[in-house]
Amino acid sequence: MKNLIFKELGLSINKFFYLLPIVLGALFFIPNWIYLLVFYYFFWISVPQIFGAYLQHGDYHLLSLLPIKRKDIASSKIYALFIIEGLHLVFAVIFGLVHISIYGGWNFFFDINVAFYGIGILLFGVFNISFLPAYFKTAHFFGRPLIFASLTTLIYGFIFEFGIVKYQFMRDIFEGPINTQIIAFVVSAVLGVILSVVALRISQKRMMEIDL
Amino acid sequence: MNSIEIKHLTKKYKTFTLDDISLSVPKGYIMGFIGENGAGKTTTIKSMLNIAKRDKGEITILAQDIDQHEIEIKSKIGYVSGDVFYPKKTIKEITKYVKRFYNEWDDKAYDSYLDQFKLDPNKKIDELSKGMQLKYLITLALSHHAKLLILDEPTSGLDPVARDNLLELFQTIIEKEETTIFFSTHITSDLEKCADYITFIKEGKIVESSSKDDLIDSYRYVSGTEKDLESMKDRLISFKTHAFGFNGLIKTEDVKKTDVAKIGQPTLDDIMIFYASHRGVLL
Repeated sequence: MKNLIFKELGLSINKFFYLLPIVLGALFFIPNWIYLLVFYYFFWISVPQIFGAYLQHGDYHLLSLLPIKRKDIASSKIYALFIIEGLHLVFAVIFGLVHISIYGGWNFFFDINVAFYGIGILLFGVFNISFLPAYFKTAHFFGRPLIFASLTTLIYGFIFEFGIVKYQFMRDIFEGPINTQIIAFVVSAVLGVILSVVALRISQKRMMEIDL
Repeated sequence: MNSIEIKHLTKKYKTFTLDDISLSVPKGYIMGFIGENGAGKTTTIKSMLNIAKRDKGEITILAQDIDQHEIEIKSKIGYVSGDVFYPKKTIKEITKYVKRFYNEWDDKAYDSYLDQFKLDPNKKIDELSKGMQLKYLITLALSHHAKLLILDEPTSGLDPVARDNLLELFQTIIEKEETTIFFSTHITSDLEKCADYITFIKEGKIVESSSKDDLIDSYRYVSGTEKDLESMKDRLISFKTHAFGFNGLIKTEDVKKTDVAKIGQPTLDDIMIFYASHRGVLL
């Protein structure tokens, strides 16, 4: 598995996608914006490029001749994706702190606060559960799974961004006292991790059932 | 001992079925796997290597069951399909990642094969000719001292000189490395040069699997007049007519002493072509 992840990160995934979290993190310098959108650029730019490159580079041809477990093919691709998602979160935190130090904490839409990052982790969880099991039904076609995942994540994002602007109770939970924010962070982060682990398990199972 | 043993391999697709394939390849020999395009050669290879899920069948490779010892088996074999990967990466880059998967990887052997094949490690895959790409894939397979080489249509797309070089290389590998080679092709003249055994597949079913000499010996090429054709039509596997009479293929055991048509030894090509229209007339 270690060798496969090493291959994913070094050979299969273009280095640009490790730089993109920094480039996208700079979007936090925009004042008064929908900052959850920063994560969506990962879904819309990195994911189709990475999964399209697997096809374009004949990655599965290489995998078919290596002494590896079929299940690990799915696992390594998903762990590599988790690592890049983690990078996006780390740089979102760094640029978020810079944003607060420049502009202060208030935002017309969802504030950049502790709860925001919990909702961000859950956003990745929603994306993972919508995209990965659908992709690993074929391990080739990523178009429909990506459209489906984009729709679910857009609905998810809309609920929070619109809800916080429109409803006081949502502002109280997600932009309220720090203790409430921490609870919101923990609950959503745990849910995000659970959804990602479930996505991994289903994908591994599906990978066992298809022809390479 | 057999390097490959396949029993009752079955794989069903919507429009094609690989039907009850059984064959064995003795250790240290070259087996050619022939059949026209779409006969099921690649499906057989992919199913036996678990690259495609099979519906039924037992596969033993290097005396181990593929389902229970897949990783162990795959680290002892070299599989070369016609498909290239990472065309924009250099040989050096790809090898850096591939070698990590093999405990038996031998850098010295790898360097010596690169030298022997005149492969520049700094060249990108798409800068190599088809023959050189194939040589690189064979280098990868041989650098971990594969006991069995499985090659899917390795000679298709190569010019005659490159094909001849490759076939010579197969002979050398068999002698030097004590490797078994199983390779599929539809260019049967390649097999006349180097194969010890032949398996012939047609429409997902094995027609013959035996030593090359036995296979060729079990058929006869017939040519004669239209009158000769009438007397042996029912016994022919298939035939084609022309202005002067006909040509056809017949099982050696079906030849009668009373037959007056000209009877000779067929080539593998003849066997494959006439079987393509089994029990019918070639157009």
